[in-house]
Amino acid sequence: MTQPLAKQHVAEESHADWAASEFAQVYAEHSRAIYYLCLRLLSDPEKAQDATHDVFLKAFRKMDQFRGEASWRTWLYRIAINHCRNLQQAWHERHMVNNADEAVWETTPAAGDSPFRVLETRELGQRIQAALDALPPEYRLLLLLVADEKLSYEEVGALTSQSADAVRGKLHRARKAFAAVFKESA
Amino acid sequence: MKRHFRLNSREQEQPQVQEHLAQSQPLEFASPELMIRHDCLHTPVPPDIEKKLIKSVGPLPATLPWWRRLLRL
Repeated sequence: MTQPLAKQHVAEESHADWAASEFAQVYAEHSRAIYYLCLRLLSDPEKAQDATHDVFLKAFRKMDQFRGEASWRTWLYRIAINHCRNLQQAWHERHMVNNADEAVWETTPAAGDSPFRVLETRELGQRIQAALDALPPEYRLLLLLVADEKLSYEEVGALTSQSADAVRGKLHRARKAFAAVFKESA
Repeated sequence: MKRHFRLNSREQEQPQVQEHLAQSQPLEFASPELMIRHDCLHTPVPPDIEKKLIKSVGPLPATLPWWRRLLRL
């Protein structure tokens, strides 16, 4: 079906405006990280798609509040984390696997230092998702944020309301828990 | 003619086989973070998000030319 000429013109104009805008560059640089975080926190590609759209729209509308004290990445992550938390609360965690108490992971035997092996990238995504879903939310978020090499431990700490030292300590336990679940699923 | 076709299809098969062999190599990671990082890099962002965002944002104010931004005019 062809669009009426005037409508098509407006659409082309907004695409051109968008492409030339500073925000389009922000989107190009950070959309992968934000989409991935939403995908792994929500465990649902469609919900992650909507959430990523909503996160960037919120950021666009609140751009005047962005003072540059944090990086764009950190600011967008903060919006994304809050947005996903709100969604999860709204769904009463129906879509999330109920995670074992953190204390359970303290007694989990270490899976050893052997490397993580998977056959192909497609399988990798599914197994990562399954392992993350089985972890306590705090560990899940910590691993996802630390995996982003653009974030320092201090920034991860600021995003998760704790010190960088606390991040280091919890990360050790999060790795152990992840390894136990991941290697079990092989 | 038929022979020529067979030769071509076999030539085309070769890179596919090599690609398949390369894909079947197991991936190894030293830590969960490295594995997650790799997965993130190989997870495409659906293009529909940007299309929807452009619609939601609506018309943007025109961007000033570089020389006006430089001179703060």
